[in-house]
Amino acid sequence: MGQVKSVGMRNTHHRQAGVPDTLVEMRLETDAAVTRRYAELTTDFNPIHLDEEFARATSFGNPIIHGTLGLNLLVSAIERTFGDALADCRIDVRFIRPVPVGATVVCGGTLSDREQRAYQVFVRTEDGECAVEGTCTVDLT
Amino acid sequence: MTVACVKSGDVWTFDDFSPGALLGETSIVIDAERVAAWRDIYGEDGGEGGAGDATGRVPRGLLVAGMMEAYLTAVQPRPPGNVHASQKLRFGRATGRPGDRLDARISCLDKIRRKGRGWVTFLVVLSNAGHEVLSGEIRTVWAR
Repeated sequence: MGQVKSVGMRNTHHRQAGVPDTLVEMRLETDAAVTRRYAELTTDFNPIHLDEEFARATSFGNPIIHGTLGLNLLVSAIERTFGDALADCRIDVRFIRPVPVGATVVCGGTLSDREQRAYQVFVRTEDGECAVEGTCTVDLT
Repeated sequence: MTVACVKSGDVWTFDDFSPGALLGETSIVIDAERVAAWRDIYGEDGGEGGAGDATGRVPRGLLVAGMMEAYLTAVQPRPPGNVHASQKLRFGRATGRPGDRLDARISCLDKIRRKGRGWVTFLVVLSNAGHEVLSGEIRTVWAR
């Protein structure tokens, strides 16, 4: 069901240095089945995510994915970037814009402070609309 | 002194929340069904450090999903139109493995009215055998 793809290759040299310049980018194609499964996982059956007729009557116009569905793709990207070296992780994000069900979301991040091991992170749609943005700081073993 | 939150009507309203008050405690079991749901959504391996890897640790995102379930269980029913505005996550060094039961503690961290909107922040702490695995701050615009 899930169509998760890593779209950025891990940079081995930077990985050895411990703090790569970018996070592995990941991509997820969403659809009604993915959204339904995420609703079951979280018990969040808000009709704005699942009911087309309900959503049409709202300002969104169409069902939207759960905010943490995209955020968790980012969490997975952080895990894939650092692997077993990831000891502690702090994420602080804002949900900027809803993502319609059916969109493909892409997530990643760029190193903003090497000493602090801090990244600017994002989740956006494939056509470039930013859905989530914020920061991530990691501690490595 | 224990601060309490009390739902006064059919749904939780802004006025019902008291910063510092405990809203509920529950548990989340990392059972096979939960792991299977994660894999259906995010793929077979669930990410490095994921459900399918050699360490046996579940993906951290599965903890986030558990955090949301705990919050939704403790604070319901909610008024329609709430907005999940922002999210803080702090993952500890401890984690969860398939079969573990995580303890969840849900409280109101803060609330404020600004520009005619009521902002409520909830704190969810997930622990595994007494070790904190995730602390999440869910910041919402409360609709009523």
